This record gives sequence, structure tokens and C-alpha cells, in this order.
Amino acid sequence: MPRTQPYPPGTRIGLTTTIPVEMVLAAGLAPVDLNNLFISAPGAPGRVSKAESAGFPRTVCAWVKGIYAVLQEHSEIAAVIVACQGDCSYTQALGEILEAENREVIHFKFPYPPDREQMRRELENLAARLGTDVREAVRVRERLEPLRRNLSRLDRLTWETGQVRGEENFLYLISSSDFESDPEAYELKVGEFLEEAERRPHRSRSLRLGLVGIPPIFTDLWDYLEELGAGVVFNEMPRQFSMPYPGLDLAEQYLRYTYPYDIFGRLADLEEAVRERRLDGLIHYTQSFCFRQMFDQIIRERLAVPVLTIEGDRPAPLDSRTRMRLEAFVDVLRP
Amino acid sequence: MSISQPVLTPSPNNQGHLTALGMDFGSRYVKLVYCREKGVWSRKKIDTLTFFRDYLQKHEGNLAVDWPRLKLAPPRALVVTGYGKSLLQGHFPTITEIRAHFLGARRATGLDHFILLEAGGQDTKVLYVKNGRVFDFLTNDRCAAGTGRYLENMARFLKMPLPEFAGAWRDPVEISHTCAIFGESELIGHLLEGAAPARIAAGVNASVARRVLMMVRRYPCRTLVFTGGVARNRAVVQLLREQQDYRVLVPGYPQFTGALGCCLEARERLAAETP
Repeated sequence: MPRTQPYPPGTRIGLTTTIPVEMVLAAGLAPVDLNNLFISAPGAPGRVSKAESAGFPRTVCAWVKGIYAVLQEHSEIAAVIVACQGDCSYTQALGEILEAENREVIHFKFPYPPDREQMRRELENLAARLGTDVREAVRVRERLEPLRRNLSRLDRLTWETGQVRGEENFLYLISSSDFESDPEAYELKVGEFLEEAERRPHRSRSLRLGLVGIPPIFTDLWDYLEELGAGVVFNEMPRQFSMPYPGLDLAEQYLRYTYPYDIFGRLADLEEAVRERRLDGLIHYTQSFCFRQMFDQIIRERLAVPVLTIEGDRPAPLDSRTRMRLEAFVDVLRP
Repeated sequence: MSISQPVLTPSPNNQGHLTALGMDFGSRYVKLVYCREKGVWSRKKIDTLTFFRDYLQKHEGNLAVDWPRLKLAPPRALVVTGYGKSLLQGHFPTITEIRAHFLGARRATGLDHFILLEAGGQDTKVLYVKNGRVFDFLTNDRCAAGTGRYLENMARFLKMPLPEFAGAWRDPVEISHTCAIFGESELIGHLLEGAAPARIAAGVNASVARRVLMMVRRYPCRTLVFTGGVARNRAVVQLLREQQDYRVLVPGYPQFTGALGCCLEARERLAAETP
């Protein structure tokens, strides 16, 4: 049901994944990454069960169920932007279920394969739907540049100097999908964190790991790896969410972003990270029932470092078998 | 098959002092390999529950092995691995199962480049060893199908003694379910259709071989060292040899590879301590 009235300023708009957030901000609206909302508020495991009680099958990604359930708690979220191309078919189906429940859904398609002309049209459609225009979004992108440069700096402090821990890196970068709904406040927060982190002593890690795949649903992965003496110095997807390629125009920025496109773009990004960050091994996180599990073998074959694949289903601490496997992996990599 | 591994004589064998002892605390059995002065190696296997009940002394938060009851002298060095490792951590030196099996298999085969398939009571590990180091590994996750415990359950279900079950590989029925629970109902279906139990057993063994091959095929190497309790299943070994162009090696005492690795580690630690 297309809308004729513009949204009042400050209206909260849900995102099922990273989309051109500049557009939401240009329209004066507040982006809310529903993944972050689901996982960070207390009671995340209960949300998955709640969605199952509402009829979602057990054999469906827990992130999708979490998003569904958390939306039931937030009626103030006026509309949800669903990436119906470039994410997964679960998300697409979720969008339809939300529509059936009279939630307003806005579709965004990452062109597959990446195509500049199609991206331009998608951006224009999204702008029109939200009541803004691409020129305004371009201005927002420029305003966000210093913040994104700071996020890149934070990332460098993780792998170059070791002043930022893997988990801190993860949390700051993952929040760049919606800037915690308030880019100004988030920019200040990042700035203050950097100031503090830069005063920390340099720390060299004897074991440098990269975390590949969608954001893990485990609650204590980084802590446990730290306990084992291994540092995560690369978080693939959170880094992608932070749009780490400065100087591109808006369309190009979202064509360069690897998440919605083919595995080959991701492999090139991973190869560069392995080389530049001198990674000793990769942990490939896979989500139960996710199509991305199919890429495990190609990641193993194409990258010249050992890969440990772990799988998570629901939000929970690491189970004992995954702990055992992580311990063995770190042990194997140790010189 | 030229395997230069130590000959592990069965216990009891009480001559000489124990020097190093490796313990693989598995889900079904606790395996011990020990090495005396003058290089005499021995082995011992005890049911895990029995070991826990009768040979572990627990008081005031402390754990100790009842060596006299085991009819063994206390070792000068002990290293533990396995499923029960976390229970014993903090009481005894431990190493990961991956390291233990790698060390044991390397010693047992003398190889530097191989795939190690370790199929135990409750899990299956595949290690890819390149240039004498573990390059990568996989473990089955959250699933009991294909493990030793699964084979035992299936044999019990068919009321077949395990050795007979483990010898069945001819003319297998097709088992499509890879789930340990649903597999049983599939077996009932075959029984009702009148399939001979030996053919059904062969079908189960073939499904296990298929399943482990899926893991093994991930690595570019054709030498397959097969250890763990499931390596004593002649049918699975035979099926692995038949289907694929792998050179399949089963070291003697394949169940003791992890314990052997621990024993080697214990010896190393002892050597490092003794000037």
C-alpha cells in the first residue's frame, strides 16, 4: 500500500539489513537496524521462540525470526525497508508476512549482478518512497565521511596497533548500518572511544584471526578467543557495513559493498585482508539454515589459510563442542 | 602397510617403572597408553562410566586417579585429552584432541602428508596434515549419525553382535536417512520388506562410509589414515577402500591413537623437565 503522505520527521524506519541508509537520513527519518535491535535488547532467545509460536518453522534462520518478534514489540516503527534482492529469500518472505500483518514494507533491490544504472534507479525509487531525493542523500553521504573515516581508523587500530580489541571493533562497525539511529551522537561516541583507544599501549597478537561470514549470533565468541590468546583483527561483514571505501559516489559505494553480491567479490576482499592483516587463520561463522553455508568449501579452497567453520543457531553462549573446536583451532595455529 | 609404530602390549604388564602415560578420556572408553623405561609400551582400555565410578577419586573438589586400583604405578608424567578433558582440566595437564590424534597418527604412520580420519564414539574428526603440521580440520557437528555410538545402536537394534555387524558390506540396502534417530525407522521399513539383517547392516556401514567421505573429500590428498573405534569396523574400511582412489591406512590399535599422542606429549614434557 503505497503512501501518499510523507513520514513525519524522526519517524523510525526498520532495516532488515544494511541498505543505503543515507536515503533514510536524507528524509529526516531515524534508521533502526532490526538485527541490532533484536540481539541487543535483553530476551533475545525468547524472541526466536516467540516467532516459532507464531508459526515460523524451526528450520528458518534465527535472525529472521528475531526481527519478526522484535517488531511486535515496536509498533512505533512505521515502515520496514526489506532488501528483497541481495539478501535472502527468508527476508523476502518475512517482508510478505509483515505486509500481511499490515506493516508498511518498502522494498530495496541490490542489482544482481551489480549494475550502476539499476542501482541509480533503485536509489531514486527509494528516495521517492521516503519523500526525499538522491541529491540530498549525496549531501548526507558527504556529511558522514568523517565518521566513516573514523571507523576506518578504528579498524586500523585493531589490526595495526592492537589498541582496539576484536569485540570493540565488531560492535562499533556493526552499528554503522544505522549509526544507532542518531549519526551525530554516534559520531561523538566513536570520537571519544578513539581518543581513549589511542592512549592505550600497542599490543601485538601472537595469533591473528579473521572472522568471516554474517554476524555471529553467539554472545561470547570474542571473549573466549581472547581467553585462548587469539585476537580477532578482521570482522568481515561489520567492516563492510561501515562502507570502508572513501571517495566513491553513492551508487558506487553500494555496488562496491560485497554483502549483497556474489562470492567472488567477497573472496577478493578476504584475500586482501589475509595478506594485509597477516591473518593466521579464519573463522567462518555460518548461521543454521542459511544459504551462505554453501560458500564454505569455496572459501576453504580459495584462501591460503586454515579455516575453521562454526555454526550458530540461536542467541546463546558458545556450546561446549564449539569451544572445543575453537580451542583446537587456536592450538593448531600456534607456532 | 609399513607402520613403524610402537607395539602396544595389552596390560597388565608390570615390569619396570611407568614413566609417561597418555589418557584419552572418550565418551565410550578411557584409553591409556603408557611407556616404561627401556621403551616398553602398553595399553589399557576401560569403560568410561566404570572409570569414572571406580578409578577416579573425588574429594573436596580434588580429582585423582586411583593408580593402585588400575594396577599401575603412578606415572612420572601424565597428559590427558578427550571428551572428559574439561572435567580433568586443572587437575592434570591436558592437550586438545586434535593435537593428541595428530601426534599419535604421525608417530604411528611416520607420514608428513595425509588426511587423518578419526571416528570415535560420539564424533568424527578429519585433520588435514601438510608438511608435518595440522593445516586444517573438520569435525562433525551436532549430529551423532556416523559415529561409533550410532553404529552400536544400529547393531543393537538389529540384534546383531558388533563384530558380525562390522563385517557386513556386501549387497547393502540403501539407507538414505543420515539422522541417528530417523535412521531406526528406516531400518524397520527394510526389515518389513524382508531384507536380510546383514544387508541392512551393510547399508548402515555404507551410509557411514559415505558420510565420512563427504568430510574427507574436502582436502586435496589421497592418503587416508583411519583411526578411532570405527576404524575397527572392517566393513567401513573395506567400503572406503572400494569406492575411492584413496590409500587407506589403519594403524594397529586405531582406538589408541589419541592416547598414544598424549603419551608422546607426556614423554616430551618429561624430557624437557629432566636436565
